[in-house]
Amino acid sequence: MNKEETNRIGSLHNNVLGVLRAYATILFLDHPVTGLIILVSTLFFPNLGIAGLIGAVTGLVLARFLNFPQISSGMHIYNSLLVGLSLGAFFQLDYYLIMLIILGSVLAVFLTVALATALWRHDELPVLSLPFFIVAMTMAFAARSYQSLQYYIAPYSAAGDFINVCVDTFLSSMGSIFFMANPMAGLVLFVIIFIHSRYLALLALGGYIVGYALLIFLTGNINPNLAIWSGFNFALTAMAVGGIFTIPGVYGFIVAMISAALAALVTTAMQNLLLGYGLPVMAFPFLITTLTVLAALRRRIGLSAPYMAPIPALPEINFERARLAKVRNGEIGSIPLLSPFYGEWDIYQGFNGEHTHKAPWQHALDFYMLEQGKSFSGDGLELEDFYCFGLPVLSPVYGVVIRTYDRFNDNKPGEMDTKNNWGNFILIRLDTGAHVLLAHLKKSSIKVKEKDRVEPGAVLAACGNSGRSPQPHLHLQTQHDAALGAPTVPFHLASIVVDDNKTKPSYKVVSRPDKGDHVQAAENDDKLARNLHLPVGRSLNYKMQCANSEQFIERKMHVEVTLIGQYRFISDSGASAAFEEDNGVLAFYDRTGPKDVVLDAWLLANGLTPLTDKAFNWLDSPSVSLLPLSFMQRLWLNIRYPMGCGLLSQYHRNWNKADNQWLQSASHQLNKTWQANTRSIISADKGCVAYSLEFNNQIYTAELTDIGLMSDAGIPGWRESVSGKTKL
Amino acid sequence: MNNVTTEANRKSAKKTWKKPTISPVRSGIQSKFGATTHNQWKDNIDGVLIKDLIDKHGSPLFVISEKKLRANMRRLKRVFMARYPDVLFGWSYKTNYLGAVCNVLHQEGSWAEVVSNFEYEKARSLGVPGDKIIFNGPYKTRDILVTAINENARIHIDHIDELYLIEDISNELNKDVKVTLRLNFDTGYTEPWSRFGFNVESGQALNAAWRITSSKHLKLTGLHSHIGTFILEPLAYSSQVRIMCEFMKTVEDKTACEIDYIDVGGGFASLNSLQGIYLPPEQVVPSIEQYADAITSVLLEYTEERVARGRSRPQLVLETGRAVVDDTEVLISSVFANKKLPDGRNAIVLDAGVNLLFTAFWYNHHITPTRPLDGRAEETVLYGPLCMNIDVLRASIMLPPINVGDTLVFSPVGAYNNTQWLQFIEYRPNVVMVHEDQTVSVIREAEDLSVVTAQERLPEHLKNPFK
Repeated sequence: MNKEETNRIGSLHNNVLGVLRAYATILFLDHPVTGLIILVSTLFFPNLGIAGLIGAVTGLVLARFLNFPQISSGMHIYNSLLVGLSLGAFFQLDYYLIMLIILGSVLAVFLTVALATALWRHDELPVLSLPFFIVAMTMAFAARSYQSLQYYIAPYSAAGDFINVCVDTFLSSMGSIFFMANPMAGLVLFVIIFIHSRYLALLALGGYIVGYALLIFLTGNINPNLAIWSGFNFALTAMAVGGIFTIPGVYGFIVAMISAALAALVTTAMQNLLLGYGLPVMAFPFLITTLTVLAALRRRIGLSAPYMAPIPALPEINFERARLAKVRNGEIGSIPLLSPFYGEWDIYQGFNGEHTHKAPWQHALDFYMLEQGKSFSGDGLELEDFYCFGLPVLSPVYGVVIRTYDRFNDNKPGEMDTKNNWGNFILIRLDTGAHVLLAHLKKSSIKVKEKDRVEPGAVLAACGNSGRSPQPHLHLQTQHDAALGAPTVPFHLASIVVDDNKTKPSYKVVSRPDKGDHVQAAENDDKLARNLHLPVGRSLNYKMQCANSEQFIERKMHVEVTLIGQYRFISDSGASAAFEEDNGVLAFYDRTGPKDVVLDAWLLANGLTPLTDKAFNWLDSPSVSLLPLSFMQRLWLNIRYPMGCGLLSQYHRNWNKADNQWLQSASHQLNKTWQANTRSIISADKGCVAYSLEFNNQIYTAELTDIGLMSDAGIPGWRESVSGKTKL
Repeated sequence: MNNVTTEANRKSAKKTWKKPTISPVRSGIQSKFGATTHNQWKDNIDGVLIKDLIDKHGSPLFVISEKKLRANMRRLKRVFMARYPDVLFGWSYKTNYLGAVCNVLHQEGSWAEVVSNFEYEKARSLGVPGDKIIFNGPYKTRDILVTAINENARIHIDHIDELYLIEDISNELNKDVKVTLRLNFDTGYTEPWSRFGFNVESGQALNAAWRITSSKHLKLTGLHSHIGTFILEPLAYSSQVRIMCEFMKTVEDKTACEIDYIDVGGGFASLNSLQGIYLPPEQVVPSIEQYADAITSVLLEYTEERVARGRSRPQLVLETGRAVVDDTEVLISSVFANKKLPDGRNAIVLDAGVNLLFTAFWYNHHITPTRPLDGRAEETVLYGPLCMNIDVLRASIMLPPINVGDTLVFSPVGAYNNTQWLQFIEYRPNVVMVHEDQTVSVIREAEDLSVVTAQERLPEHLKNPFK
């Protein structure tokens, strides 16, 4: 077997893990052990379990063999698995059925590939188990003509044998997600969900109750078999809508419950439609309701609750991501932009401004420059009298210029060109997909061409007075679509000094200034940005000592970039955190993996570090779970804050000239009951050379021992030890 | 002009004596001096009456406006910082090193730009840390260089012998020293100041950079040049910056140094009329914005590639002196005597001369009376108090008759007068600063005999010669 083919088939280990994961994925979970438990429970019903396994393996082999994209996501496998399970649930396992399972699984893989991309392109919808449903329907219709197949009656325990009728019905209904209409199997699945996510379990229970109650209310008397075989649709719909694809919250929960009720409605309708053909409803109500609700929610232009999760994940993870994003960005989904200018400017018109920033263009900022309340010197009759006229306009983002125009004349002061609203403009497509528009630019001042790549700080043009502009100013807005005049979406300015005339001018990690505010760009300081920069392959070794013990912990950290281009800071314990350096700050988020006090203390001390020397004080809210909590503290935290919560962290940094280094200290508080302190020393040539964490009367101090770059093909690595003790 | 004395209370006062005038009837010739300015007058500085200032602090009197000084500095900062991400101002001490002036500017964020042992020590004594001093000039002695190196001042090397000297000191102290090379070259606009720094065209500057690479402790991190003074053509700066950026690229490529800052010196013109230029300064002198555009547009263009490669743009250092301080200071001088010259011209003897107003040698200052002068304007010569033929403050000005005891305001006088003035024959007068709240402080007291003779030592046998 040549190398390419080995790669194509993959290692046995990975394939086994892939199959196991597929079992867990059906419950929106992701863990091979979880999958193994589910697999084992299906094997208690051998006809069902083996049929499912055959489906899963067929799906895997085909997807590998034809090299379909996104094999790792496992969606091909779980759809084939479901096909296998569904056939195993109704027919006796024999050679004829195996043939049918293989055929069905193959069709499921093809359908998955075909549908997944199409649905994703349409409002980023997930394919879920839609391919399975189509295949199952096809099979059910086809099976009527296949005389070779023998019907199989699954072992069925009557509701009430296990605990009581209501509970048994719920549990059996959960079990029938895997076609195991058995309360015991359902209990196993529900416990698994509960262990992974309490919130998901709550949604499952809530969704089921709402759907079930609605059916009782409308029909008076519900057919127990209907509840057992279709009730899981209410639970799955609530889980998907309220937990996986949106960020948990009151609105999300309400929408999830409404969706569960809708799923109940669809269930009744489908029941009546399909019963005529003797066909089961299966997951159809869940699919149609979830996809409809998600598609509708995604159609919203502005940002409002329930917020869509940027990446589908467990509700607790969605919640933590959203919490941190909200603390740092002020608003979920708001686009960060760096200042499009040098120096100090004033806000002429803010969001929802009184002149032109009206819906659907309400998300926009106009900048101009004031001196002692006036925007011009002399008599203001000439454009050149205006302070901001002709000033450089910079790119606020990484992106590609997609459209420019700069042939319109600049209006005389006081006059406007309402025919050409935007005047001379530059439209840039961000690497993240949105678009940013800079408008009213000076005639013939644009220095970039369409298709040019730009990065923050690149000089694009000059501030002018073209278009609907009575005096020179710069208009900045973001929009989803590339069309001129498309509706705007919210954004905020990153790394900026704001004077709102109320408090002292202060550095803000993010801010959305309003009319009358005075803002100053906080450019990166070369020394900070250069020394804290974490390029791919950078390795840092830290040696940590806990004050009360003689023991040292040594950890090797290094930087990797993932397939989707996310940079991660990874400890050799397996724990890691993602980070960004783009918006004037070094910001860590998305901590995963096992406990690791060396990494966690690092993240507390340096989790949000501005790269400008204009920042002296700032706030952040890292997750409480970064603290080295005792077992009791962790337990208390899980009960008090089941979704997790953030610390109130106040950072302070000053420059110590004598030692040529910054001292960054922070106090982290939770409700004034828990208090932790961190200190970090950032040297002007080595980055963070030492840090410490004080919590629970313990002091952990870590020192940088080695700094290096890991080798890559053709690139020799290097490593040097950091000499000299740094005093904290 | 916002004058405090109103027309009404002026008329109610005792009528001022008005000297009769005789003027020849000339026909057909237009005055080449243009309109006379005698109908303009100014009786206060930032709301403080000039009469009160003279009554309290004597005449002549230098008056500095703190408000104007801060406003000028802020404007300069705003204009440059809106055009370039990293700008540093070095206050050129030689332009005006009165402590109060320097410290107002240091409060506004300027560093000190000094060119001598004295200026270095003065900056330190004013509380400027060594690492916020830019040390220029062709004559830096060993002692002061040792201090400057120890205190991490930015040292701009002027000649090869200085380079050797700094290298020698750095070896002796075993200390790394970041240095800047001062360059000279022909911009095509101004007379090259080839006496300062290393020449670019001849390869001298690149040789010096090479020499620095072979040094154990020296590191080239900056480039400096100064193309001249009172430069009226902004494009001269574009040309200067272009040449410096090209040299920066060459020197970085060839010697693997990293240039962190580019110092373009100063030389911006102020609203003063240079003798020999006929147009008024308002028409000739470019705005700060024009200078800034000329400098930063070229600098941005030449450093775009640096940014694309992930390096930040070099710091832009400006040593602007005159444009900051010139129009913040006036000299008030009183008429001591009137004269009629044999050729029929009027002449006035003032209590301030070229001893105080050194710049009168090359500027025609604005001269404004402090009350409205009635009568016909006549050609008048303004003489100072010195017993010297060259003590002429203005060879010719159209002024109506003016009385003994009347005061005239000379402006702008903030640049170079308080540093180049002479203690010749006369004592130097008070210098006051009008603060933003209209209070007034004396920032340099008038001299008296003890000041002028303080340094003198009289040998014993020369004392009491008439005894």
